[in-house]
Amino acid sequence: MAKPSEEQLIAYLDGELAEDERAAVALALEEDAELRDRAARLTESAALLRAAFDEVVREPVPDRLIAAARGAASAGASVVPFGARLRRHIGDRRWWIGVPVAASLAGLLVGAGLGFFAADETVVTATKPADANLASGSWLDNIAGYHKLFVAAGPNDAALVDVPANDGDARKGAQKLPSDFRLPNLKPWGLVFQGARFLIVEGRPATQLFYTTDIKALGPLTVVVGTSNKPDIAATFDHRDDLNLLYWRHHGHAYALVGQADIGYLWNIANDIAWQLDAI
Amino acid sequence: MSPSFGDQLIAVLPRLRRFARGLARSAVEADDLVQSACERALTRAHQFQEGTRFDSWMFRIVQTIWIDQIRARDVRKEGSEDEALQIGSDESVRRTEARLELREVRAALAELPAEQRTALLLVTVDGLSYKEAAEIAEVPIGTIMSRLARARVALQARLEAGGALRRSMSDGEAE
Repeated sequence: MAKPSEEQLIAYLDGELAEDERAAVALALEEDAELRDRAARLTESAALLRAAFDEVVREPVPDRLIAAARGAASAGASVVPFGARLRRHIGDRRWWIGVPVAASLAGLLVGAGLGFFAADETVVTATKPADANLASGSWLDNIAGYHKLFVAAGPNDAALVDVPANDGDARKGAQKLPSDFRLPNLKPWGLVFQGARFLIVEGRPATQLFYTTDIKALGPLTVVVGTSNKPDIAATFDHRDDLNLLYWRHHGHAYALVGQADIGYLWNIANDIAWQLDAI
Repeated sequence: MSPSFGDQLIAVLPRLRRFARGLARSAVEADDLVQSACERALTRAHQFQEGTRFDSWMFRIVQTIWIDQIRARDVRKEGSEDEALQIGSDESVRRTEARLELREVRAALAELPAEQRTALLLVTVDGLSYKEAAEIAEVPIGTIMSRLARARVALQARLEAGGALRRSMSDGEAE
């Protein structure tokens, strides 16, 4: 084909051309070294532009904007403390005061793990938690259900936790986290790791991590980290009863947070996790 | 149960801040812009149509307020020398930018006309499709396509002139 126009070349790089036009530009690129160099420079300048603004989405959102989003700014309502303010306030308090171990709910777990592979990025609107009969529920239902079980049963329930925080001591034969797995450090948020379980999300292995805290506004939290072969998606909020969920996919990994914490908290913790696990 | 209006708004705040940071002259001004957009969105929540994209609706509000502000200031020429200098003089921005070329990139973006800047921020930075960007900018897809092409070419030329692109590509080859 004739040399593609700048518009065609850039639309090609952006994945916006129809199939026939795309094939023609691809052929032109194969045959023309100068054009390939031009495409490489355009790609690089676009990457630089993204990098120049990337840090903005990782910054804690200012309190005044959270308040504005909640409609509280003009009313002068109190603002939930986030990010650095939270870290400053919590100082060096002792976080873990223990989660009372309730009666074992292992019997409820039989069917809870059966049907959580079907969900995709669509926001699921079901409001019922996972239960033994919900074989077709989504993985979001599943992790929300396990979060509730974890809160009720505590981290010492052997039927719930595959990898205890102090592995080896609590149970012989307990599994360990994979050697290449990076455990998010959430101590600055007052969250203490209590254990993990293995699960499958969208057909891929994942790990659900349980954290506890004595900060009532934050409450127990679970973090799900898994691999994914699906396209990246921005952080998306959802609810299950009184639980808030936040999930996203980035660079071949899927993530989710579950807890009763205000979404503003979850958002800032999610940013922290993304920074810790993606900054490779 | 779908997320509440406020929750959806909070979820999109980081992306709105990034968009605004590329439009406004400073980080503080960018957050002012986002705050104004939140307040306007809440007063017009009834106008949001369920089933349409919430993020696109919010991007459009940010863009509308920004254009109103530009007009109010009677800024005839976007991306003037003064504006680029103001970005460079923002201490908070300078502190957070460790790499020289990233500062150059922001300055190069600030020199572009407003409509090209918007197209770049929506498509190249935020990753929206041409169709989505066209809906936000309220122009045909072909217009977005040509604005993007002009913007990408102009940005590349500025970065090459400033040396940021050359350094970046050299770094990539060295690795």
